[in-house]
Amino acid sequence: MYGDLALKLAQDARRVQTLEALPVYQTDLVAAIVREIRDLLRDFRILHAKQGPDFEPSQNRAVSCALFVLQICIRRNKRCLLAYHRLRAKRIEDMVWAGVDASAATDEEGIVKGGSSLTAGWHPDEDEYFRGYSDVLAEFKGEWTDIDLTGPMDPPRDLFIDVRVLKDAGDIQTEYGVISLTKNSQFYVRQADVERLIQQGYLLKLS
Amino acid sequence: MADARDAEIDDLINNLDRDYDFHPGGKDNAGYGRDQADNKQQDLQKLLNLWIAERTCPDILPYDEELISTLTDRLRAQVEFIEMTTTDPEAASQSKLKILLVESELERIKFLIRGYVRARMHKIDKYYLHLSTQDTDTKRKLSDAEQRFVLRRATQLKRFYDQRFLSSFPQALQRLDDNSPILPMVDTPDLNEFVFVRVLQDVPGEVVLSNDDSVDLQKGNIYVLPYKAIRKFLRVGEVELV
Repeated sequence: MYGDLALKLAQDARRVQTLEALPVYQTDLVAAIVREIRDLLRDFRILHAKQGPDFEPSQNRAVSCALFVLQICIRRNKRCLLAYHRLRAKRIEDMVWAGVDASAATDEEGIVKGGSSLTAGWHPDEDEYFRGYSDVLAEFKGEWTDIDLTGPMDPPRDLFIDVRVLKDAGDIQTEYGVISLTKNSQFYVRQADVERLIQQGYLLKLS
Repeated sequence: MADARDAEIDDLINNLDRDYDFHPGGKDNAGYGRDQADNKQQDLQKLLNLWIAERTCPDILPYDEELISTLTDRLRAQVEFIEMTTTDPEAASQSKLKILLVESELERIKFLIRGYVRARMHKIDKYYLHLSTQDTDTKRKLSDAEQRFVLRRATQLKRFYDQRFLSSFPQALQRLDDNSPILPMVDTPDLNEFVFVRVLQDVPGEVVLSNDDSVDLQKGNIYVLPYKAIRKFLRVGEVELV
């Protein structure tokens, strides 16, 4: 039945909303829906052509109803496709804003994590969209030299915070000298100096 | 004892402006003093109001280029001054507490500006199609950088759609901005959303909400009204969003 596939896609989209990481991209389903749309379009054209040049929709109710239904199915399928992709795109955008480094997650950590990285289920086009949106955002952030737009959205309380090092992060330069961040050590540092490392998961902020 | 210490801290805070303001005009700047400090306090209050309004308003508000650039300039000057002071070990040891207070305040202002810009970006991302139209009224609300962002992100998303499925459709079916009244495709801000407003100045006459409903806006009162109804009063500053 027409529209069944699109319904499946919409259901998958709804499932995506409750999941933390993006599930596998439905390549086959999307391709099948695109095919269905093309079939419907062909049917539409054939039926329309059959009516001849002087076709009056109001004269032939049955045909115009059939044409209408075809057109509605096409639009519905398109709408489902758009909704599915917009939702995934939105999730990808959120990751860009959150400062997730998707490329690092696949290249460096991919083997360690056994391939179950964040981008594992992505379509290559989605990787490209991630990079594209990152560029757009980076350009916008470039206008703000003094303020890190992707910084924390909680109101600042203390200048200095306790952090624990979860992964070796090398040395960082602060105004109090160089701090060497080795795993399992704990430091009392300026929040602004280590914000990025907290976001990337190298450090844990202790409350 | 505690009182004396409190008074000392109050004193410190009150003197912060005088001691720690870096002002390029230097000593020539005779008019500098209380007035300017008040001015700065006002700017901060403005930023606070701007941030609250942007967060509560369903539509995107005009960008306050002047205020934000003034504040970022001042932030930069303060940071420079702190750096200059801390590189001098003698001065640094004397004024550690003061610098700490100034830095905390800087972080807070940065947070407000970030919150303001992020609130705008959230709406820009959501209504990007609506905002990327060539309508001048809409365009004027965005800063130059925001306008560029809207167009570029629209291009990126269109390309993503194209690559996945859209390009295999005939031209007529490729449109993303088909705004037929039955099923409009462009997401627009919901101007009927209710907002909280405080009335700053008496608004003459009654505000008509619908056919048989109207309200009298009195100074100092807070109302919950559809954004559409108070939009024009917000623009002229007769009401503020809270």
